[in-house]
Amino acid sequence: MAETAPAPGAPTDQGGDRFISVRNVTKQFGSFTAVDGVSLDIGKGELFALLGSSGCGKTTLLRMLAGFEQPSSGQIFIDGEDMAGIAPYHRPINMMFQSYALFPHMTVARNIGYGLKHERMARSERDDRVAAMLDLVQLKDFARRLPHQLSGGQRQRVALARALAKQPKLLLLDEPLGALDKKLREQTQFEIANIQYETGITFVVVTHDQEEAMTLASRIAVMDRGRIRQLDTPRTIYEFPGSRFVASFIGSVNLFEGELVRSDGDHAEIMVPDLGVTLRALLRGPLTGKGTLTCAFRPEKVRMTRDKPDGRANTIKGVVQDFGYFGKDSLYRIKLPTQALVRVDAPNTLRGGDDDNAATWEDDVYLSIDPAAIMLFEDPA
Amino acid sequence: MKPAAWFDRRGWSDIIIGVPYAWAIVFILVPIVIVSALSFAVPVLNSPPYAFAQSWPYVSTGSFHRLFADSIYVRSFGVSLFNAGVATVLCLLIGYPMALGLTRVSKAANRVLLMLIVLPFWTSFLLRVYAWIGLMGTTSWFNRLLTSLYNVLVPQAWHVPHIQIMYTNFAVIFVVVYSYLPFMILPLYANLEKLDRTLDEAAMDLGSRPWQVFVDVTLPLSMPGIIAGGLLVFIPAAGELVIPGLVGNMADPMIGAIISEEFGLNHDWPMAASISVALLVVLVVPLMAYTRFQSRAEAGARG
Amino acid sequence: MKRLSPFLLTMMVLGYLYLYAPIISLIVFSFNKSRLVTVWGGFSTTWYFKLFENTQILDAAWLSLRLALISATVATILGTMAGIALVRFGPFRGRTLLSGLITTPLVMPEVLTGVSTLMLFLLMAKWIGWPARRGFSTLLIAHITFSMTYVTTVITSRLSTIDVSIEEAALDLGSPPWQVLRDITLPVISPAILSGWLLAFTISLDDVVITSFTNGPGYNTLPMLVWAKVRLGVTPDINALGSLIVGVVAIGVTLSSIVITRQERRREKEIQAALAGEQ
Repeated sequence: MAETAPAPGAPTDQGGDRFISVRNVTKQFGSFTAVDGVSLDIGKGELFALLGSSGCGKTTLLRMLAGFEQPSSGQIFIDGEDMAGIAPYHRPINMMFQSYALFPHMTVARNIGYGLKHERMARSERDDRVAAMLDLVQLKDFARRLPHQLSGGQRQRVALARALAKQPKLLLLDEPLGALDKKLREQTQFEIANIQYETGITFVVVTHDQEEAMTLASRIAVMDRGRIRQLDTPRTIYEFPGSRFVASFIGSVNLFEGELVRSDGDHAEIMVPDLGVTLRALLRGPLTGKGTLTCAFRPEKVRMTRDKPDGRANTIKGVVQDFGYFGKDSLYRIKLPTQALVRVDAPNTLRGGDDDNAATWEDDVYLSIDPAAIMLFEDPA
Repeated sequence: MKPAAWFDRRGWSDIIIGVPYAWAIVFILVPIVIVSALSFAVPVLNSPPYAFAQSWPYVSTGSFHRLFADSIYVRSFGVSLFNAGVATVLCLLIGYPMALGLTRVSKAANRVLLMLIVLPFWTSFLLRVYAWIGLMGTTSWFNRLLTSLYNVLVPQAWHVPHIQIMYTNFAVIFVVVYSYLPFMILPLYANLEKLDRTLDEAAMDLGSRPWQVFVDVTLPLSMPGIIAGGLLVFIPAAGELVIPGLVGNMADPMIGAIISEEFGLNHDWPMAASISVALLVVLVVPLMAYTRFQSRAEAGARG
Repeated sequence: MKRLSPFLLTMMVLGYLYLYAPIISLIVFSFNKSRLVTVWGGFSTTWYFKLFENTQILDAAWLSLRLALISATVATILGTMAGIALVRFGPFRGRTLLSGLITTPLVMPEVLTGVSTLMLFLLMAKWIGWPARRGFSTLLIAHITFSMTYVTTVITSRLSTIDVSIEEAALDLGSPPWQVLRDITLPVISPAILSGWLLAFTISLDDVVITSFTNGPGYNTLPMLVWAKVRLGVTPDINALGSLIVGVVAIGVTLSSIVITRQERRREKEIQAALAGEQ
């Protein structure tokens, strides 16, 4: 997943101009702080994702952008204009709701045209715009249907068309693929990215699904308990997470605590009791030596062999305790002599099950981890 | 869950709150306040026929004293609660199997049968009572049917020419049950219909016989429906005015008739008011218990 | 589908007999030639003709109808406003009191509502000189008040099942709140408004107790008239009246349920077709 190319809609501009600017925004509901001092800038034409588990404050932030909630403190600027006190119906922003929120008593065409009523626009122009939108989402033949006469995927596209019809400066998408099944999801994902590219409108997507965020967005803000934990490109967030939290939130990861033995400028040696070895890791920044030191490495970055490899750093011996066959890869759980378990993701490159190299239960295996693949975190526990 | 608010409440939208609010205050709250206040007044021969004491504490509990001292009030309270209680139990005994049956018929039959339960609601309440008056009379086919059944079952010495049903407490209960039965069936049905069928199957799978499944699973889970239906029958039945007036024993009135009489015939507003307050207290207690039960059940469902 | 046990089947048969035996008997004896309502004296439709010659009954029916039409309409407007305020206006000041007041007449025995409302009218007459006499206006106020609480209950229960995000979507698309109300909220809850109105209409048409406290001389609604007649004894013209009401209601309910069932079936089919189109 990390190796996929950026989505088609990826802008060249990575937030250089501050089209949307969130300045130190906090939102409290009674004693509960939903959003806690968030600041971020989003560039024009960007496809930006807010990623986090439920209750992390991402939806509240989105609703503040839309104007349904007012920040308790802080400011939101859109295209240089302070949004404070501006009602949702006066904002140049439209939203695609998680439930789609299609008007059940209006046809597809009337749903899409509803927002245009409020713009001074000739009737023919309005009809043209609706037709163009129907074209964009490939629903030309469905203009006269009512929402309940549509499938889930079609409803989703009507919601998208309705939100786009007013050509907003900013489109907010709340879990846009949440209600679709897996197959439809993949297809729609690319459609949304394409539409974003064609229209050039700035998109902000809220999602709890990391795959969705990574394939869609050019930049992702990972949120947790009302704060932004990391804001970066998908690749950076996956390969170079800034904290232990982000590392374990995105993708799967092996985490082991250790103690710094020695560091020699660009490499560090860390004694990891659970692994029973001293790991050699590439340093990407200076270590402070404070707090707990955590070594992390992703399962697919571990190389597993039946024979002891020569000349590789960080080699550990273990026994296959469990494995699961997933088709394109297999996930192993390797038990070390220290009783610790290491997860290893091995690609199934050869066709057929009788790969001589495939390890099975109780087999002895050797794991080796590239020093560059080891991430070091000094999070305070 | 806080109620969602999408209105900015300024100007015209205050009208939406204000108008019904003002109406409710003037025509719902004020009458209740008046009744509560008058229950502490004394009756006088004047118009309006009440007065408050001229000196501290300005209120009199005389009407409440009479309420407990005069046996007619206590007795009519007793009759009302007894009739309402018996009617509620009978409604439950008749209504529960019907509601349960409604959940176990085909969809088409369910539609028709449910409609037949609701249909009497849309016709006149008074005419349904009237229909029974005809049937309970001593010359009707219904009375003759009952009489002959009775005469077959009992020894010759006890035989009667006809059964006196009209103008008895039994007639009141019988017609109350008839009139309020749908109020019992509908909430029960709504409750039973929502129950997960697989629970029954699970209980049977674990070795319960159908009767045990009912006692162990269905009955406890339908308690909210039983209570809702029970209150919908009990409260109006306890204050019933029309049915006892038409088919009941005038010598042994229910509390609704007493209130109406004190107010209309005796012009004793304070007495009518204090009986009303007492009746409210008696009926509000089970209601409060119910809302507590319900909110606890809801909290349990969420937790 | 679980089978109906013999016990449940018996109870249902007996239950429906209990519910319908008097109604059927009422209808049968409305065609009785004899003055005695319970002894068959041959077939006749006299009582129906007598009914239409009875101006007292016709006047009362007309009064009831006017009262029910006006009170149901006003109650529906007030009840819809209260319902929208309670469900959609968030936690405004006095919200608890309003919802409490709305439920009070629903849980209070009617005799208490009647007595307290009459006391209010009598005291108002004393204090502000209105209503000098009880009549159509006092009946109207009393009927609006209790009907409104039923309408509010219907509206709130419907409105709280409607996803608020469709209203937010309309706001988001540029409609100010009053347009959202007009374009989205009211059309979406219109079936509930209609059924609230019907409920208010039938409750008003059927009310005896509250009417008996708040009406004045010369303002006898149909139920009041029937009550007075029934107190004096059973007469076959009341049977005819009852049969007519049952007939009208049965036809109305049957027709509307056929229409509703058809609509539901069509909707289900459309939903299935839409889902099938996906694959």
